[in-house]
Amino acid sequence: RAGGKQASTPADNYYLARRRTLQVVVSSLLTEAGFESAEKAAVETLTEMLQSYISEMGRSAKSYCEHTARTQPTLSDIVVTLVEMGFNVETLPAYAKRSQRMVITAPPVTNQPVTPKALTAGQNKPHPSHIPSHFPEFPDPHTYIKTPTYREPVSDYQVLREKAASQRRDVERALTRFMAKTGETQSLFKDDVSTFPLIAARPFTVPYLTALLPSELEMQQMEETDSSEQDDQTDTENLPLHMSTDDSGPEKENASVLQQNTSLSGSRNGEENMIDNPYLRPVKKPKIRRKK
Amino acid sequence: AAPPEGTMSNGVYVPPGVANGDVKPVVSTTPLVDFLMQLEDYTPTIPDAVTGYYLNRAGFEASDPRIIRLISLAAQKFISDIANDALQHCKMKGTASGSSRSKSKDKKYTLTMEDLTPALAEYGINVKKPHYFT
Repeated sequence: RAGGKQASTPADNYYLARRRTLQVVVSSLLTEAGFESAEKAAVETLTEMLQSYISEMGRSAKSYCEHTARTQPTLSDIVVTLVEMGFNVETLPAYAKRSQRMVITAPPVTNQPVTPKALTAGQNKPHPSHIPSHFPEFPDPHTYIKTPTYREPVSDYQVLREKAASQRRDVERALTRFMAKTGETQSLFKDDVSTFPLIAARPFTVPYLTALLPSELEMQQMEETDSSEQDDQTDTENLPLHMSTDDSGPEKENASVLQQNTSLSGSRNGEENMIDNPYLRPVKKPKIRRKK
Repeated sequence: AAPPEGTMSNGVYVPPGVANGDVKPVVSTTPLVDFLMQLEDYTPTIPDAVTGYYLNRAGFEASDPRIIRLISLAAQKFISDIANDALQHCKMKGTASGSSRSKSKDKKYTLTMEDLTPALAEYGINVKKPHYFT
């Protein structure tokens, strides 16, 4: 309430109006005393003193009044208050008669600041029963209600297809580049090695092997069809066949890496080195036991 | 007959000397009651609304508008007393150097903090203001 340099809201203006009136009063009193002008700091000091004097008198008079078990202050309370504050009461009538000039008009009566109707949105929550009605209302509901919003995911077929295709292409590109950077490469151009590296192709010792042997998927299908025949001999035949094709299956998946067929165990070890991650190993279907 | 000194029978302390009229009560409300009647047509400089506003903030509910005028008048007097004291200081500083009496000190008095501070000090109010503001 010091009326400083803060930005004034309508509520502040309500208080500032009265303070400005006090300042005008102080200025008129100073003029009456004989001063032509005054320092701003001095006027502020006197205004502050006047305001606190009035407040203190009100508080003290009220205390004296309540001290005698009354609620309405009377003249005696005021007199006692004045005496307590060191005021010489006898000089008061003389002072009143001395100067009868300088009446200041009262400040305009302004109501409490009310938010304009245009700004209110929605119904305010009504008071619960334990709150008296003269208390201010609840604020607008939009100030405390929270509705989370979600963005609808894109479900357009064309956009999704595009996204999937571009993602797949990026993955392939990244993987092949990685293989080129870490493995052996052959260059497309004679002089320039780095621009178009091609992953070095290792020649198969037995080149037609991949054409002859069925792929992993076909092997599984064959297993399932064989299992329906219920034959012991076919079971034992399938086992070694399954073992040998176990090597070639993953080989086809890593098309650029060739393991020597001569040592199955070595290739299997290499296989384990390559695919250490259990999630990357080829799916092992459970062996179907046939009842004898 | 009232006892010369000490407490009376109902517990009220009476200072010695009251009986023989040496000590007069400082405050008697009788003249003020008359004064209150006069206040009805006298409007103090501070408007009733402003004084009433500050009194309400302090919890003082005035039943009689004259009470409010009395308070505003008292506050006015308080301030003008200080202003007069400051004026005395100002005049003392002016004529202390022995300026020409013909003009009887330039008629323009300006209230400055240098004059206000000693005037307030007599009332027991100490103000300290910085000479500069950073």
